[in-house]
Amino acid sequence: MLAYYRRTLQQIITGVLFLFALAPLSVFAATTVDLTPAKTASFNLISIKTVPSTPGPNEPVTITLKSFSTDLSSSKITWYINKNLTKEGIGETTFITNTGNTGESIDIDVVILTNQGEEIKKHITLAPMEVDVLWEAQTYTPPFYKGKALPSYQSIVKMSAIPRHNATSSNPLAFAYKWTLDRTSGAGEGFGKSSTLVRATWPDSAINVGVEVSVPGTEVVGTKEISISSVDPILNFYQNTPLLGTRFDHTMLGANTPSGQLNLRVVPYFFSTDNLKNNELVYELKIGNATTPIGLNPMNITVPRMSPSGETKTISLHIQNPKHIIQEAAATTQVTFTPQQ
Amino acid sequence: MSDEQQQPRNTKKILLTGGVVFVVVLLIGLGIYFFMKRGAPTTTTTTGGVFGVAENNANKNTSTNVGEKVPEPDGASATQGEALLFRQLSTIPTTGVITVTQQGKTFVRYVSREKGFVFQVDPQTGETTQLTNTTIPRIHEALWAAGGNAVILRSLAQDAITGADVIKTYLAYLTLPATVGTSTDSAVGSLRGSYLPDNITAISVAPNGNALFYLLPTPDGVSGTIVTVNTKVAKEVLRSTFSEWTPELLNNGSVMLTTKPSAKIPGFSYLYDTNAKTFTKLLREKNGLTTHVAPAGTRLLYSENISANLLLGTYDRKGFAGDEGIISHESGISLATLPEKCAWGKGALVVCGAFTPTQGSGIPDEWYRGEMSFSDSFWLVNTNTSEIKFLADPVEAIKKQFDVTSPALISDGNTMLFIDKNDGTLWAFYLPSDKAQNTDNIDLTGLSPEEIKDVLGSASAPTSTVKKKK
Repeated sequence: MLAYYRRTLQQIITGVLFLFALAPLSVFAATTVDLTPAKTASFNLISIKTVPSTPGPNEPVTITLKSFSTDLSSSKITWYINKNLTKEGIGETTFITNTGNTGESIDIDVVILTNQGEEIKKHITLAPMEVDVLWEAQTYTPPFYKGKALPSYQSIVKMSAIPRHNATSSNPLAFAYKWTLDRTSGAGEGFGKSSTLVRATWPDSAINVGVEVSVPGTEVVGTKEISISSVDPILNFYQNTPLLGTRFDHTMLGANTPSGQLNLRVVPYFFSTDNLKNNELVYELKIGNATTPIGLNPMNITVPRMSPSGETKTISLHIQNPKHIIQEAAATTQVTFTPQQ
Repeated sequence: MSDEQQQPRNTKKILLTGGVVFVVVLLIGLGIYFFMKRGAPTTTTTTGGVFGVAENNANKNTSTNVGEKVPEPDGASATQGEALLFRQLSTIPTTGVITVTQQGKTFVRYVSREKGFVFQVDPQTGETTQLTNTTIPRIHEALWAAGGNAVILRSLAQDAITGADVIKTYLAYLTLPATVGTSTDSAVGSLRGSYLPDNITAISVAPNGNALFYLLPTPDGVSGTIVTVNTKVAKEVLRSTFSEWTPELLNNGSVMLTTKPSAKIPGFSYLYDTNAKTFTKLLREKNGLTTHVAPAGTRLLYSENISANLLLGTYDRKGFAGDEGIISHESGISLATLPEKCAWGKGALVVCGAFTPTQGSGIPDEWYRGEMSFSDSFWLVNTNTSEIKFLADPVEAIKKQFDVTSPALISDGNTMLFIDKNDGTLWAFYLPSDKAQNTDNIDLTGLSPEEIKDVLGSASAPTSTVKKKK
């Protein structure tokens, strides 16, 4: 019985020791894959690197061999592009070439013959992918506006990637994505995640958003990083007319009218749309010296004439988003009521 | 016969002769008057100044004379003895311009922004006829389809419960009396159609007018749909997480998609294949990028804002042959303007309203927001060679500033139609062929637009400017 327990204990200890012995190999294998993703054909102590690390189409690429264990400077190194000998010589550790068009792969093979007579082969595929990153701020612009919505303080910005590996695989959902914000991961990742949301920063400051796009199961990787600056919101007054509606073609800096009232529309460009839709913006309107009561409808502000004689009224408006306190803007305009006959 | 008897006879003779002479003189005078009146295009005949009338009439609704000939707008002209350059074709704010041919003659159709009525005007005489009296108020934009027999009217409404803006899009066909457009017709037609989905953010009609493409917001971004105009069959062809596109539908069903512009933001332009669902990039990372594709779809005009300077250029999908066999897809044009101020003509020719910006750091956004306006001069561009030819400066010719929008060239290539953004009126610009020909023997290579104007004898012309409103 005792012998049985001793044998069992020995088997357990042997098993644990065996697992410990294997563990470093597992870690090492994973590390190798991480450091040179799919670029090193087999495990050895010579690394091959490209600059830039994920070149785009028709870009010059510098390929470099490095090793701490093999004396490359005395080795004969032969470079092949698509199986064609392109360069050879002693200590030729650097090779410069150009990537092809989007979707056009180039195979680079390197044969290293050390002065000890050992032959080592390395392989890398340059499969350029182009990535465009488009963005749109979730901020307000009026209907029919032909310009771009710009980000203001703490507004949400939606990022979209358009990768192109080749014509038939440019469906964004066919790629895997890793998004970074200010070079820190965590802005979203996953297969088919071609868009993500980030928040804008202070006016006149910028955020950096990056994305790495890959084709699962292949060596194809593309990257792109862009910078997005924030702006201050803008307030514009436009005249509302019964026959034409709001005249978005021209801001109203001043108006002369013989009529009994003037109707205006305020457009709060680049305020966060979610706060605008939820009526969370705070409006402070003054017509002359009078502050208008709460409940202002910015889409139709009526400026009334007080007397039949001529008068000029100054209209000033301040809008603030209490959810993002720096998101604010102010504007002033004047209305002159000419004397009525 | 005694003298007493002869005197009344003489008096009668004198009175009769005098009367005949008076009638003859009167007839001659009337003849000259009517002759001069018919020849009015070469003179400014309106009392009180042509532009005063145009401005005063801006709020008049000439369409009240339903079914009748609308009073002709007073055509602006060059000075006596010179060729006519500009003619005002409408006195009311208009949108949507297309040319139609009836019995071999070219007419222009447009929509009144106030009520959505359709008018037809003879661009050579200014004679206008109201075609429809179906009221659809406060039209923001109109697009034509089916050769001028269908129109898409876009307007703004408010949601009854939330008060939020709702963009309405009405696809209508013109139902016209058989004799419409003829000189004796007094009948008026109507619009018959149906509404497309609410809140279409952007819409484009193919150059042949057979199909339209529109973008509709979705929870994830935007969808794109092609509608065949005659059958109204709709097919969704695009799903995109990015929604800020300006589309231009081509005759082959592909769509040019350009990102909405901002002066300091890089823009992109793609050709989207609606069958293969693939994007082919055409233009990349150009600040303030706007585009306008040629009807054939192989070439487009683009503009970009480089360090507050607006530059026009041509992109060709096949490319321009350069030195040593190098193919370049982009070619710069020495004009400061936006592609939407240019009209494609036959082949490679383009006519543009162009400005000389003193400070263009906010173009095009500030122009879109109505914070600034342009004073455009007119230029002919050969996009094969990037050569430009100065045509006219309206400030010099007729003392008027135009901010050109919705330009279109009549098929003969000699008349450009445009809407002045300042007051929404429709104008015809008759290209001065003599000026264009005179430039053939002058080497203008490397000269700026202002220098070319100087070379062509326009040195005294007022400089076209950008007016900032704030």
